[in-house]
Amino acid sequence: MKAKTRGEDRYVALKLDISKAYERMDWNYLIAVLHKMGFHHRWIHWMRMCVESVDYSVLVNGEQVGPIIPGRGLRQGDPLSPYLFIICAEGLSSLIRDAETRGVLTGTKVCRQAPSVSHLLFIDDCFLFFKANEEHAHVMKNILSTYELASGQAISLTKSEIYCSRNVPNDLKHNITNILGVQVVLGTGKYLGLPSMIGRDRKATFAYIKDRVWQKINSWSGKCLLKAGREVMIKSVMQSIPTYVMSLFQLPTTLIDSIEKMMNSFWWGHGKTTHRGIHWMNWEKLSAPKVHGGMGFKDLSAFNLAMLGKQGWKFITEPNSLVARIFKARYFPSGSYLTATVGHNPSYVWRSIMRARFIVRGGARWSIGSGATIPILNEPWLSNGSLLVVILQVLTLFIILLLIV
Amino acid sequence: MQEVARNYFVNIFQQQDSDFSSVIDVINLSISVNDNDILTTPFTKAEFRDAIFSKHPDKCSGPDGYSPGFYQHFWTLCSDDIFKECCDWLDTGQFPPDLNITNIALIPKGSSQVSMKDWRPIALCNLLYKIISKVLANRLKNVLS
Repeated sequence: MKAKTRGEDRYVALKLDISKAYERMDWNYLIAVLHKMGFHHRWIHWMRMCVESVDYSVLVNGEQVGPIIPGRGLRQGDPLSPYLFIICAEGLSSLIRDAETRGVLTGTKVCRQAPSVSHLLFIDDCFLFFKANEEHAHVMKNILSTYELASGQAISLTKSEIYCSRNVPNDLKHNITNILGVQVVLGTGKYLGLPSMIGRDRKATFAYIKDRVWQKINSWSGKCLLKAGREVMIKSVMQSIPTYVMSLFQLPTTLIDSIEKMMNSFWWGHGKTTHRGIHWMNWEKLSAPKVHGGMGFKDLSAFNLAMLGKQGWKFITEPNSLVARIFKARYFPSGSYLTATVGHNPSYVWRSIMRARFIVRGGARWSIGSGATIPILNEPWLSNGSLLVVILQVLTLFIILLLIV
Repeated sequence: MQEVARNYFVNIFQQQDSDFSSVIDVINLSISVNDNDILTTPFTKAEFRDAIFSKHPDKCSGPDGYSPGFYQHFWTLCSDDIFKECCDWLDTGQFPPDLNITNIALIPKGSSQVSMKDWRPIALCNLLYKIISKVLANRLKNVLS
């Protein structure tokens, strides 16, 4: 997502594939980590009780197979598991942090003042960043194998992916992949379900959304629905497919158009295999709220902008989050999201978020606290715009009055 | 089919020797005395209530067959018993042996299923266990964030 750096320093992004992360977690390791982190022995005992007293039966064809007495693993479905997993993953990030402080590993920075990022972990989706040279690759390899050995996790390097910044020469790239035993890809992978690299061809990158909507339309369940059923289908299934992607990227208009067209023809189609039917109304009219004579479907592009505006709003309201800090350093080191410019060579995410800025600008107002941080003249803190605007309005009114008199 | 499933899971859950001393060495102490106090204070009924009512009432139930909706509906009747028993178990540090039996349901992944890898295992725990675990998780959440 943010790995678009192309500076003089050469960086590598490594995306790890951890298989069966929960099931393979080693208990002794977990307990050791808990001890080391300083948890109370009573608490540790409770954790042991919860984790180790399990016995499983597998449901196959409605019959129980078991019991299977496990010797490791956390359960998917136990409310404690995610937290315990985070604690275990702390091991990996400590290893990386330790290597960083010893100076044998460096994380990436998107620009000079930006915080250095060496790893992003989210349960079993990991992204690691390091400098592109053989030593660092060796260090990284060592770290991963120690972690594997300790925690019982299986990182399948053949399924992991690597992405080098553009200035890495081919032979170096080749060496690094040999050391780590991974394959180079040109950013087709996904991180947290979002495409991790956006190429020049946006339509191709996001085409999978269209395919998914298409699949839903063509599935047998869609074909035998009544009109009312189709309304629910569109509202709660199809429109929610692109939601997640739209929260970060502005989808190309052509793509949005074609998705809307697909939904429209699904709505008017008679449920036969041909999907033909007269479209009595275009999508704009259908997407009006029901009180205004529409069907209350979503206008996807407006929805998209709203979601992006929310991201921008987060930059303002949560300035200490990692994302906000990185974007601030890269795009608006002095100033705020509201006053930033797109800048040169922006990432697609930033460009998307900037497109939605006019919405945030239109609605954002300062609420007066101590007044210490508000530039009084230019910033909007009155209900109808900034002080400057108000003064100008009053002046024009005054002049008009004068002229009349 | 059942044999295959059993072997697969026995294999996955089998303990393997692990060497974690080098990882443990670099982990920092991050839990303060204060945090530990929060974690181990006596439990309150409100915590259990929150845990039960934060569950979706129609969630799939575990081997005992009680859904969250059941406990939510009869909370006024059964809260005292649940609270007392759970506190008992936690104080003595011993669960009854059949509390933590878990069913694994297999959910198909992808379009065709040829090997055990094409199924996603989901663990279905007993609700009573889940309540306790949720109470503990809520405490842990406060400390970690």
